[in-house]
Amino acid sequence: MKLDQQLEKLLPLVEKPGRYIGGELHSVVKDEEGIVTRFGFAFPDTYEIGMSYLGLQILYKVLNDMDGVYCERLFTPALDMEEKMREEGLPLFTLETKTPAKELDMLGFTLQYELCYTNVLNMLDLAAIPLKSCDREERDPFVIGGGPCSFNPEPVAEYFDFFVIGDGEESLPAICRAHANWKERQGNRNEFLSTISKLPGIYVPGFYQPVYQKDGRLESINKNVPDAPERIRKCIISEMDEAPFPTKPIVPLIEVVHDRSVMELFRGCTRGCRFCQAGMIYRPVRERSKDCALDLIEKQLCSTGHDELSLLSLSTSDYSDFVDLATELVRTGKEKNVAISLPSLRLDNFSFQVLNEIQGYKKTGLTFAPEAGTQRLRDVINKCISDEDIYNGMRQAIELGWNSVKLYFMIGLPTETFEDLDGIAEIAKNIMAIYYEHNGGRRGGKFQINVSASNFVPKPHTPFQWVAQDSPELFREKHHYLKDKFRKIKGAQFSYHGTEASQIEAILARGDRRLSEVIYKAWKTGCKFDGWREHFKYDKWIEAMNDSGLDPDFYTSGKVSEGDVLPWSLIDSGVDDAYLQSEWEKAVMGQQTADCREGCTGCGINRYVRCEREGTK
Amino acid sequence: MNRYLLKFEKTGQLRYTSHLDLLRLFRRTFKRVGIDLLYSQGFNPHPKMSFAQPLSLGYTSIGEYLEIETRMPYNESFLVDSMNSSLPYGVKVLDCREIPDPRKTAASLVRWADYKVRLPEGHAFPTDLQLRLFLDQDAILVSKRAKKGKEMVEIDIKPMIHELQTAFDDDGKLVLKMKIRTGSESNLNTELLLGSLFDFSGIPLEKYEPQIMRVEMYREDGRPLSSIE
Ligand code: SF4
Repeated sequence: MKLDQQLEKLLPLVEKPGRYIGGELHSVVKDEEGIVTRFGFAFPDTYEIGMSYLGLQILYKVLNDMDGVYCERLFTPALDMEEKMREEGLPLFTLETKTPAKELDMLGFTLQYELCYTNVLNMLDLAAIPLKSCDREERDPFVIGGGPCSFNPEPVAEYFDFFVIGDGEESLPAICRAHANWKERQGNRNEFLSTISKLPGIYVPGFYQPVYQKDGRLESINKNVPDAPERIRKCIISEMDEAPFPTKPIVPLIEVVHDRSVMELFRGCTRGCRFCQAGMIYRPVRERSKDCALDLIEKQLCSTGHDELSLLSLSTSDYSDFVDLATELVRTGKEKNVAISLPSLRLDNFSFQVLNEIQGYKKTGLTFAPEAGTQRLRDVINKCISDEDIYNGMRQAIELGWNSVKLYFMIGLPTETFEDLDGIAEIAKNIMAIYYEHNGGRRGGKFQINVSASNFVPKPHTPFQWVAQDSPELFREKHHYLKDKFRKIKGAQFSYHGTEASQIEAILARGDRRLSEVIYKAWKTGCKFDGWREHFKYDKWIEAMNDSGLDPDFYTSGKVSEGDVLPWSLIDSGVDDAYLQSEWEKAVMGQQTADCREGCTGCGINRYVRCEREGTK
Repeated sequence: MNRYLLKFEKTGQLRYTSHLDLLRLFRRTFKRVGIDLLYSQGFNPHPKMSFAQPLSLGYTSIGEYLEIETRMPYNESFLVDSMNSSLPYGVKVLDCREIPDPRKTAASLVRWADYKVRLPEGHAFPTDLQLRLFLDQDAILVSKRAKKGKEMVEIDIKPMIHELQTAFDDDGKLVLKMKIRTGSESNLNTELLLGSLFDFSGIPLEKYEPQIMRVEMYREDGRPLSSIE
């Protein structure tokens, strides 16, 4: 039976069959004649999540714009579909042409969060592609990893033939060109890896061998292949206006998490929050010009018919032309019946004016991330907002008629004490007081504060890459402590994340190559969709750690990053180790580092690329 | 007021998208081709468009109806052509008529619909005799879940069946044709009927086997929904 006939039989039996049919507006159909490189873009989560991810749309366009390359999409089938596929012997397939993944030339996974690793294994298994790079044969696809997690790819190193570090817009085409050449000269697998290992940003883990000390820390990472690069420097695209951006993104047929047009205003962030991996690894800031952004938005809205537009960036208000752009967008939105959503705004006068305009009577979705409860701890993490900023912002919001606010905090930050936790409750209390005051002193009323606490996970390539994570017990204690405090604050809700998943996330984030076995065992015993609370199986993970003779504490206590050689030492994010070290020292002393728009603070990325926003404020 | 009734088909893989998905799809298509729908007033304005009758996920149809209100008058064939220039493969507008005013909504007029059921190659259909015996029962009792809540209730679906017969389709394949109650007032679920019929006839039927297509929708007097006096 042909694959699509088999599929036809399964679709009526599964939930949301629209996930598996492809055929969306702007999905690409190419004549297979003349295609040299068949590329599978794999997102290790469900269709609805993957299709809401802008990176997929960008790289899909980049690859399909090339002659001789055909890029198709693959997602993780939901559990019911997986079960049926296994029963029927239906392999993992592409949405566009229902081609088995195994028949592709390359299968590129984007690794957006660590808790997707078991899904990667599951997808390879469903595709009947050997899980480990060393077991793959000449005819198997090359399995590629990219995305933020590839900045420490070691825990999954054995499952990938190579990783693409940094921006993919230029490196993926380079890889495809190399592939076409290689195919023409009928080279072998290893030779291809050797060729592309010389391209910028390509890490071939098989060319390196980590050596461990007795206590489990790294001794060195040795080269197996003499001409493998010493370090792998991330790829950086420098001109955003010239960078490819989809004007005809795929428009899903079924409802996905974010059903909207998206504009990436800029990449990177100048603020330098010390916990934030994105703020470090996406440096420097590269902006799209306002004209270019507006032009792309216009084209996107026309080609999709979307009625919502969202801006994407780490800190939207920092855009240099923000006032003009926002004013323009508010106008477009009104004119075209398009809802504008502006995430991560600073709470200043102008932002409120804009929010007031675009939200009209709705007044929902005001979010704000102080991250820490006291000025002291905010200094440690370099989140440069003062209590004053918070309360002024809230006063304004309340006066303009907002009835609720969502506040984000992180628990377990380095140097945190219970006083810092008290500070979180204090902030909520004070905001309620502001509301009562506005209400003419009356208590009661309908103002709602939703406080959401996530658990701090130390990430590679940040100043906090060396520090310990709180134990699950301590996290729990802190959660209960806060829960208790919040019970006494009328109008405030406190919610927090699962502690166990954060521990596993931390282990995987800073893990070394020995974790490959752990991930394999976890997957083998049923772990998948670990990022979904309802599917996460903590005991299986701990069992897998124990079975592999590895101690979770080793990875969370910070020991793994003691010494000179870190598992991700080969990866050069462009930010200096010395800078991270000095940022850590300043953190401990509670010293802030200014936004580098006020002047370069010396992170080191300007060795490789010009910083257009340096000292522009 | 400019009101139009669009007749369209939903075929192929698109049958695996839901009623709400289709609503979104049409909304975006109107936006793309620049047909200005009228928006409701209020805090959360939405375009004025509604289907005559939702189509179940998994069904195809060559007789669906969408009613819209536009801000200005359009030529009917222009509406058809511009929509078809931008709709994805699987949805196609077949016809468009202006709805004279004042007039009831399409949704409130639907009473009956024709369906056509195909089965996989070689699958048995009930014989004519079985069909007659099935219909000749005093009552055709089936149990279904009550609207809200979990208990099962028994209902007699006999009065909801107008026609039920096998026939050869255009391509020479056998199909089961039915005209049954459809609409907001009384609606017979096709699968409920099929389950009862095949059970009665002693023919096993798996959930994934029937391929159901809606062919047309009718008013009480038997005229198709598209006929506008
Ligand atoms: S090199 Fe200087 S200006 Fe550039 S991102 Fe780093 S700190 Fe900012």
